[in-house]
Amino acid sequence: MGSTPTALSSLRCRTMAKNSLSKVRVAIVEDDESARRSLARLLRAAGMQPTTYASAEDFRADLPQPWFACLLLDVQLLGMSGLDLQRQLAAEGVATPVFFITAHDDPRAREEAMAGGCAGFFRKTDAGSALLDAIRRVV
Amino acid sequence: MNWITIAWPMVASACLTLGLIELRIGLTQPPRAARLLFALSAFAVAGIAGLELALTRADSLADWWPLMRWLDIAVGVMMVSLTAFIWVYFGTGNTWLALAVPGLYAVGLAFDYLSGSGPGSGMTYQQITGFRTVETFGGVTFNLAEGVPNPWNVFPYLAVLVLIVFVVDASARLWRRGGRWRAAVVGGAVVVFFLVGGGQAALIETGAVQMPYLISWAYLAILVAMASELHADVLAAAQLASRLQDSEMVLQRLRSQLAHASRVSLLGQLASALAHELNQPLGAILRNAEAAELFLAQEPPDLDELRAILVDIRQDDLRASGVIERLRSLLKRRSLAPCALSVGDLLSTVAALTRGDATARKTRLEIAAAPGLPLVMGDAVHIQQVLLNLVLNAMDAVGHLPAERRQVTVGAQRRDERDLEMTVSDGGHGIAPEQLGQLFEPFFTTKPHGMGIGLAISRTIIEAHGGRIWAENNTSAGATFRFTLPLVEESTAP
Repeated sequence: MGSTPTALSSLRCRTMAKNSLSKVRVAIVEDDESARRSLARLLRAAGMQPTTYASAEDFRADLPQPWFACLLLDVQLLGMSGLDLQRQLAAEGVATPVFFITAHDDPRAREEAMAGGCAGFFRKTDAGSALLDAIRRVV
Repeated sequence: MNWITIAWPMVASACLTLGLIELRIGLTQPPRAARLLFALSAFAVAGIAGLELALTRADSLADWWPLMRWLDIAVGVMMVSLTAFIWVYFGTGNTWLALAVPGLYAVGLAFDYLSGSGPGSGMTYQQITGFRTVETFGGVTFNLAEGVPNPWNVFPYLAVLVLIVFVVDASARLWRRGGRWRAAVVGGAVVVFFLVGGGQAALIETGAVQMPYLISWAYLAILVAMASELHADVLAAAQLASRLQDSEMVLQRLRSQLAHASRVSLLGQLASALAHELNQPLGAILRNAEAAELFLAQEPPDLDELRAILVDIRQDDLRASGVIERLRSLLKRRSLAPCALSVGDLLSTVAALTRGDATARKTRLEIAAAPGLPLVMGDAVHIQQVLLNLVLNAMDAVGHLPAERRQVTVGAQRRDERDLEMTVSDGGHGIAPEQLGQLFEPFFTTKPHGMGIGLAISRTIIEAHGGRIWAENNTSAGATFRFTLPLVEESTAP
């Protein structure tokens, strides 16, 4: 089981602490159904309140826009990409922190995301604890 | 042995050699007619040299007259073949002048045979008065006929003059058309040496000089000039052949490099698409496992959630092993192994392989397969390569369009009793009508960085399956690529 349980148990303690407060609302924009469901499940298990969208367009159409502590965007999306959405939001002055999650670690996409001021860039196979830690740091 | 008996046979053998070389080349290599005519004129001049030598020894009318008549015939053959050679080789000669040469000479030659005044009376002389032995350079002696020139002797000289005019005229035209070197060397040589040879003969026959005929010497010079031109052609052809061989080797090397490059890029494409495909289920399994641990730590554990997680993990695991199975079959290099294939499986594999590209290029990939399609006979890996290639091309074709119009449609429908037709359509610029036929040629490409081998390979694959592949422009916009695959015969269907 390696180091993951340790990392997760430390996560758990903090999760418990957070649970007493109001839940952290996180938007997930991800076109792969299974990836979307599992990520939402992890956030829920970690005591957050995820809202899922299958595309950037769906996310934009969800009006009035709920308040989110942060956004988790897939880089490759059908239609508008995660990077496009990040640009649009930045242009509109939305300051919500953005995390990218990708199945395809393309250095160019990573550079572009970093240049756009994203709060973090994760691969789908990176440990969930790292993502959860990063989310907690920004909220 | 003296210099006359050495020099004339040398001229004759030189002419024979040149003639035989051109005859040999002319039997296989162009310009064949020119080479054969050249050979004929060379043999005629060899004959002329031999006859000239024999005439230097003739001291009686009985010896001299048959030789003289043969000489006149040989000169005629030489002149006619030379005229024909220039006609063929330059391609610029005047028809009437060319026909006048044999015509005029034939009239002159007729005197040798039709004159009723007995031996010696013919084209050249009206009457032979006697033979003299003359001493020339180096104290060598030879015999010379003396006689009254025939006043009708004008015809052969006219023939020579017309021949000169013909050659000058043909050379001038060739010069204007750009064949300057050939016109100058061959045309110039013919004119100069006809003037020398004909002039010297005229001087002998009018008794102005006393020397053997030098016709063959003059003509040997013409032959050398003509041969140098013809041989230049042979040399140029040989050089061209060796250059062609070089460029063919370069092409061969290039071709194998390109084939390798295309394999590498196709593999790169597959590897990247499959990595993406694998990371989706692997990432989902990881998230689910992490979530399960967190749920298990809760009191009481949410068992419904845990059950749902296990179901999802199992599904993602199956999805991942499906990807690996595909990877294995795609990477296995083997010869064509056709088996019964489901069209739906083919299409969904291709959709999965190109999904990464589709999203990156913001292109919608629509699969429009008619329901209930029968199985086709084919090698899945190869057919997928063809579809992949066509779909990526179609995505290139719509790349310039606004995102909402970037769509590629892959379709499949039954064509007739024996064939299924698959189509890949785009809404791009379409294909220029004159390019429709060339599209599938190796190295034909319209892309700035294209290699022009994708479609050529596709055609090879489809034809190996017994199908056809072609392209046509849509009535609205863009192009459709179609290929056929044989259906599995009813009796052999599993």
